[in-house]
Amino acid sequence: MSTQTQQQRQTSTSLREKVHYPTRYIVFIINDDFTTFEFVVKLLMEVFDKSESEGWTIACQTNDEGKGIVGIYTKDIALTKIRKATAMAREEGFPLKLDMEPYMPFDDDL
Amino acid sequence: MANQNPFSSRTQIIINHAADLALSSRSEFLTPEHLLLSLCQEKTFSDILSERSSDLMGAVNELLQYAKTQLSYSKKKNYDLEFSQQMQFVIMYAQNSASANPRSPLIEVPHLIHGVLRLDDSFARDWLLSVMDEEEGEVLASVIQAYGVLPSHSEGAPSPAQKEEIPFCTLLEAGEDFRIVGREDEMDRAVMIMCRLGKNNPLLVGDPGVGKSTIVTALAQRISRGDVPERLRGRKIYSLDITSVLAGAGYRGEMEDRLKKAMAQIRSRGDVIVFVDNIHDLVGAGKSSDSTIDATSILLPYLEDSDIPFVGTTTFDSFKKTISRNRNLQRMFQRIDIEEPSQDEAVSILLGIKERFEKFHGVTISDDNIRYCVEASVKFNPEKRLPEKAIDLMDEGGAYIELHPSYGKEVNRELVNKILSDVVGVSVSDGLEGGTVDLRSRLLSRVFGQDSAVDAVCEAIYTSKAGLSDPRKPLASFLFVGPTGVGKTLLARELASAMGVALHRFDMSEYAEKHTVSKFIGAPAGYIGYDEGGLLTDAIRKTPRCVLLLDEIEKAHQDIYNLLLQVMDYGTMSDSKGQKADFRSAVIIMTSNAGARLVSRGGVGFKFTSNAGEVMSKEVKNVFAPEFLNRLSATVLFNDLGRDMAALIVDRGLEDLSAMLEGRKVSVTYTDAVRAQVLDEGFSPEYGARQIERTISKNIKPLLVHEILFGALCEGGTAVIDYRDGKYTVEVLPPSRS
Repeated sequence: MSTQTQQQRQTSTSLREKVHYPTRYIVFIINDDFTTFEFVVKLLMEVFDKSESEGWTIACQTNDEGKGIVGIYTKDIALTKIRKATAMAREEGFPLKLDMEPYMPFDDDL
Repeated sequence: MANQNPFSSRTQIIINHAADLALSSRSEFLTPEHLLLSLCQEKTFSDILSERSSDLMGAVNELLQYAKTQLSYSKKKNYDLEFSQQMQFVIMYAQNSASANPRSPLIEVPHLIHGVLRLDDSFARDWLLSVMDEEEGEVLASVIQAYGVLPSHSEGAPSPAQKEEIPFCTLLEAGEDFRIVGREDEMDRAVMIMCRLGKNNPLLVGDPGVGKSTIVTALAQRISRGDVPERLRGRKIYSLDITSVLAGAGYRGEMEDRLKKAMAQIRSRGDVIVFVDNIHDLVGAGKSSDSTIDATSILLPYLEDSDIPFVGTTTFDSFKKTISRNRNLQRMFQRIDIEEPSQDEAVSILLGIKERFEKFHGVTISDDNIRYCVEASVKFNPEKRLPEKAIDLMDEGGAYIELHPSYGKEVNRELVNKILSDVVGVSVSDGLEGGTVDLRSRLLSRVFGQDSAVDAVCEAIYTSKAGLSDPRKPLASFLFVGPTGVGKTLLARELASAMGVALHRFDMSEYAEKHTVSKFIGAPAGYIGYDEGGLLTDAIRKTPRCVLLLDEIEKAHQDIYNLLLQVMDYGTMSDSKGQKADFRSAVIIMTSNAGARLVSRGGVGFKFTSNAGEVMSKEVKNVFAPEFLNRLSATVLFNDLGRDMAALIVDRGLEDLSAMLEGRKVSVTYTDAVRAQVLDEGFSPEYGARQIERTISKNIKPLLVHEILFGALCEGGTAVIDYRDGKYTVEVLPPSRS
């Protein structure tokens, strides 16, 4: 009996470690001279589920700093959303580029 | 991109279920995590997991939790579910690995798992690895095993088409590197028979090991290549497994049911050729005692049906015993005799499969050695057939090296010889151990006083070793004539041991009656003991290289002579079953005392020594028929015992006694007086060496027996045998502490 619970605990803790093991990624938009603000906001709302005001904030950040942070996602979701966003942009004729980089937390509480 | 569904039907169901899971939780995308969740609800996969993980429920919950918190969710009510990027990657990867096998390029679960394992930064992958608690390779191996998907390796892989499987049959397919060498004519004939309007069932008849089943596999290959007439193109050969039809068939008629089911399925498919290996097994199969219906009766209507060609294999013997008895069955088949290939053909067959063997065992074998394999297997293994026996040699060679990697990487002549002597049980030492010259000196050192006899024997052996003797006859046939106890049997024994071959001794006084011939060659059909075979033929078959000693040949019945005549001329003898025994590697020695009586009668021997030979030869000519004497390599006359010879024999007898005593830790020495006395008492030209042995036994042995059992020698020790004052004495020396 006791060995079983021990094993149970073992699995759960090892799993708990694994849950956080896959690194997550920060997705951001890269500024260019061609894509319109309106489009970027629309994109952020549709693909990334942002509110209108959030969208504007990010768009402004992109414009001002060259890169605008959209959010933190798992790699799969990040890739998928970037692909979706890029496709949408290309459809409208915009050369918008998004990118992602690994998110490195400073503390272990995540 | 692909117009057809890349997933197998089973996998499609899993994908659909994953989609349901995603939609029901309103996840925006179908991710690998959903795939895994769907798999957890599939029996095969969950079985794998529950084997590995003690808390499957907990693990699945973790997966669900992740899905709930980490994935992206749609706020819309209706949306199009898409594959996530990683999921697309998984599918693409799976498609890649599945398409490696053109026969079944559909994606199965192992392919998907492979794809999942290839992801990085993926919770799905990490979860899978942690639940299985294994490394990647092991996880994949377990999944593959559970789903049984290894299409490139299993021969009976079901075709991707939706056709149902035929019960009790397996699809016969040639492996990728299968190649047949030769046999074109036989295959053409088989194809021709199958194209007939009626009774289009070829029956391949041949000895075991000549390659019948291989031919059928080659036919399958040829058909799949399209190298056959229109009529046969696209057909699949299914091998009917009669044992599985019979296995477990409990209630009455179950076997018939099963066969009928299989046949009905075959008939409905219409594109099948049925292959029955060892078709003679069908005759009488499934027969119960109160019915004449057996498996063949069930199959007869299908055999007649020209839409379904049947290919059968059998051996000559089995054909005779089973199929030829049943006229109805026999006329359904057209017989193709498959003969043993010639040595050259066998060599090219082995060359054709050489690469496969080399790769399998990790060894090399040169072309010359392949030729040697064939030649040696023919020479030393007359029982079996080419090409099987040669292939066996090659295979055993490779396996030997696997077992003894220190031997090296090459299958060479030496190894083949070793295998022949270990496995086949023949000694391949060319008949002479330690070289040519040694034979003579070795024989001379053991057999005393018969120099001319030893010379004659060696002469014949050397002739054969030089390759100058007649290859159709036995190695040598001798008639040893001489008085009793001079070393005839001994010479035969020593010859056998010097050549390193077995000695088969037959005492012809047992074969004085006519019926005893059957002891030699086996009882005729209908007599009890028919199946037991003959002593002589069995002995020769077991060890074809031997010394055959027939003692006191003049006592044998006339019929035995006649048998031997044939053996000495042609080197073969057929047993009661008609199988030949090959005597060509045997040395035949017959001993006879003919004329010996005359010699001893003619005086005390010495005066007549010079004429003894003539006297004996004359008598031999009287006793034996000229055609018998004519076939001998040599008639060897043995001298009777001379005094010098006798002295040597005395020494040897005493030495043998010492050797026996060594076992009891007793060492014995003899004084010269003893030796002289034994010689005096034991020397008798009439009775030969045996008298000397008797003298030793009568006089010396009893002394020692008493001491060994009850006296001072029971713990071992040293003794001296002496002869003094008309008595034999034994004196036990005090034990020396060393």
